[in-house]
Amino acid sequence: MAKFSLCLLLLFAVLVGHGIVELEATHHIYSRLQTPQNETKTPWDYRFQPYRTGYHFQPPWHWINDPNGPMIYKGIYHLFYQYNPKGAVWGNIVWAHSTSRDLINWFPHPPTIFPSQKSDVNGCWSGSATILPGEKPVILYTGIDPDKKQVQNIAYPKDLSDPYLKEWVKSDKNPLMAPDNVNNINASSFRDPTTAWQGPDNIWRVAIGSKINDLGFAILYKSKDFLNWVKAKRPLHATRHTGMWECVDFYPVATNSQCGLDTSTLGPNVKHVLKISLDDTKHDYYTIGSYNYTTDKYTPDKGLIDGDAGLKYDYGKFYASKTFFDSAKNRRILWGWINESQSVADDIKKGWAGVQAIPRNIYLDGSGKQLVQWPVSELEQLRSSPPVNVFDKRLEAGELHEVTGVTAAQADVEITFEITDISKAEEYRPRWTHAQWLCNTKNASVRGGLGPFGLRVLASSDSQEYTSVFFRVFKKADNKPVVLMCSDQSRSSLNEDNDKTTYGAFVDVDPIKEKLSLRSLIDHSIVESFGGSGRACITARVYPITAIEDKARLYAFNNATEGVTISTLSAWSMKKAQIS
Amino acid sequence: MGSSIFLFTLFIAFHLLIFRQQPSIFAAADMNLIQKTCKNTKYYDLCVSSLKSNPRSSSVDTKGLANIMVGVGFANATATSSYLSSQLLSTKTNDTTLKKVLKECADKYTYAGDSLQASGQDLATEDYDYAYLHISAAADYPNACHNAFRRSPGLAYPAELARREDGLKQICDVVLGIIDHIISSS
Repeated sequence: MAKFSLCLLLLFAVLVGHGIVELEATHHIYSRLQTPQNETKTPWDYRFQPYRTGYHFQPPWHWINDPNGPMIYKGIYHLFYQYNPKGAVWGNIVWAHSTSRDLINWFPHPPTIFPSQKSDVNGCWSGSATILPGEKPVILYTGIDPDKKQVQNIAYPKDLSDPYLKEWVKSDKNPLMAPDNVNNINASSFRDPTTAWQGPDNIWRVAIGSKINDLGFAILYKSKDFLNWVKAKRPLHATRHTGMWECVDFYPVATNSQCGLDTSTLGPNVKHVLKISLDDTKHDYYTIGSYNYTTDKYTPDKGLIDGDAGLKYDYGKFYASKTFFDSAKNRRILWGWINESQSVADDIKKGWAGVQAIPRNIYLDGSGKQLVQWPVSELEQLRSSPPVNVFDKRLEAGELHEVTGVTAAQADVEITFEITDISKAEEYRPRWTHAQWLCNTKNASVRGGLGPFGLRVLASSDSQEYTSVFFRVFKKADNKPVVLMCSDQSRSSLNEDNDKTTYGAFVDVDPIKEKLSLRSLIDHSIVESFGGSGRACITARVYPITAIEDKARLYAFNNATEGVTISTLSAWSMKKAQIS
Repeated sequence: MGSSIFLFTLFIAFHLLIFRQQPSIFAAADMNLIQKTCKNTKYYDLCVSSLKSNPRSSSVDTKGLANIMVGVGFANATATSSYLSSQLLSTKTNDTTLKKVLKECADKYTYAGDSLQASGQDLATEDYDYAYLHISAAADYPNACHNAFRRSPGLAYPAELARREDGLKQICDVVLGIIDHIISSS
């Protein structure tokens, strides 16, 4: 009996010593890796910073993750985000806050939401903003209570006349929604409330992701006054074998325009999008479907799947994304968190981790079968004129064409290819349904008839380090084309500690009917690529050792066995933005 | 007289034999469906014996078999709830902790029954994900009861209740397996 007690004590000590959290949360607690209080390191101690971005949002240092509560108020855009004020790993999480007039240049404010009540004493996790009638923003967010349970709280601006909304207060009614003995909600799987929407009955609805075993679902809560919430009997949607649904997002899209819609919009030319961030795979998936507001049930269109076989916003590193309705310009804007692909040790060495993607305009494709994304047009103000232009250039088989005259580590490049016949393209096999696998098997060094061709970015002049973003065109048995887009990071860095996974996506375009286009936003350690005018998006993080700053090069390449024609290539050096 | 009785008995016996044979022929075909379906579940024997003992099982499809199993689960959950209520009545009035826990458990098993009923409706409309959700919830309610005992120091979790907990969970597991099978073969 004594021996047994001793073993238990030792086990307990080991567990406590490692700071391991008992409950099933998504974050590992690195209690040993936080910057000690008395050691105030500044970013300027970490002098070698070749990977910090020039125009992608990131704070001066420390860890960031999910974008929170994005919104527009009195003409000013707000971005909140999960932030650790004490270290380059997840922990001590608060809502940091920045504002902008153009979604590109940002001004920081002190953190607005941090532990201050019983209902968030152990953490202020993600949530969303809802603009109530009368232009009154409120935030619903997940707090971690004294028993480490996940609960939902409300916060609202202290002073609505402050356009920067610097201070927020919390209701003493918090938590407004919590797991209890009656509702049987899983207390460690109940988080990330969506922006709420109001039905024709004037009742507000909000969705919160949860799971039971490996069945993920979105719990629905309803309210008349936004303070008293009642759980609906049925969830908004559920899918077997998907695991926990984080950062659920639910919003309407217009079927007959590219304009965004207010979150409460319903009507004949409206469909809905349900997006889920799957904890098990760390990817964001969406379906397009129909929302029945009388039964409060969402049904995805036939053929669309929630989960790993389904559509993704971005086929690379992109997670915990969230949209908001930009009422000033009638757009729906998508934010996404781009985590590091370096080791935790490297993150600590450099003193920071995480960037946000460039905000993207998101809308339903004309076909109705997928969403299309494109960087907000405000980004173009950073383009240095004039661009470097190339028109109607034939790239012979195996040719590498350098694009000079741009700051290759901080650039915006658009290239289109003209393809008139696909007879020389490789044969496509019907079982090749996994784009990422196909890009790994047929990477940039594997030559085909019509591909690989595309861009080589953050490249060293000796070809020791480079990231390839390219297309590979196949032809099916019926002679119809299949276009594959790859972001190949396998040779991106001589540092073997980085995650150099290659990403891939099929692009639903006919390259003969329309020119095959690729746009890449290059920013030191991030490459955000858009294929087919935004029908396939792939974001990657790369950390070259030599191909940095003025040593980085930009090329157009064609490693196919046949030549290909560049119809247009435009490359701009990008000015630095005020990134936070 | 003797020969008439003999002939009559022979006649009756003959008919009894015939009517015993015919149902067996159908049963053989449906046994195949039951066996095929149950092979996809975690508890084959439980699945087969539960389905076989229900006369409807010989004339339904796989969805119908899932429905029958849901009914088995509902009966099981309801029986446990009744058992707990009767335990509650026979408990000494001064044992307030035990009474509280027994009441909570009785409620949980009733909720499990409610969830199973709801899942039956979802099966009918082929809302398989919702059905799955309700059955998963039903399988989770016994945990809430078990936790109620854990939270009360000094209260031992009765072996009979542990047996019933496992029983309901296994039945639910069987239904989940059948639903997965229905979806993957559609």
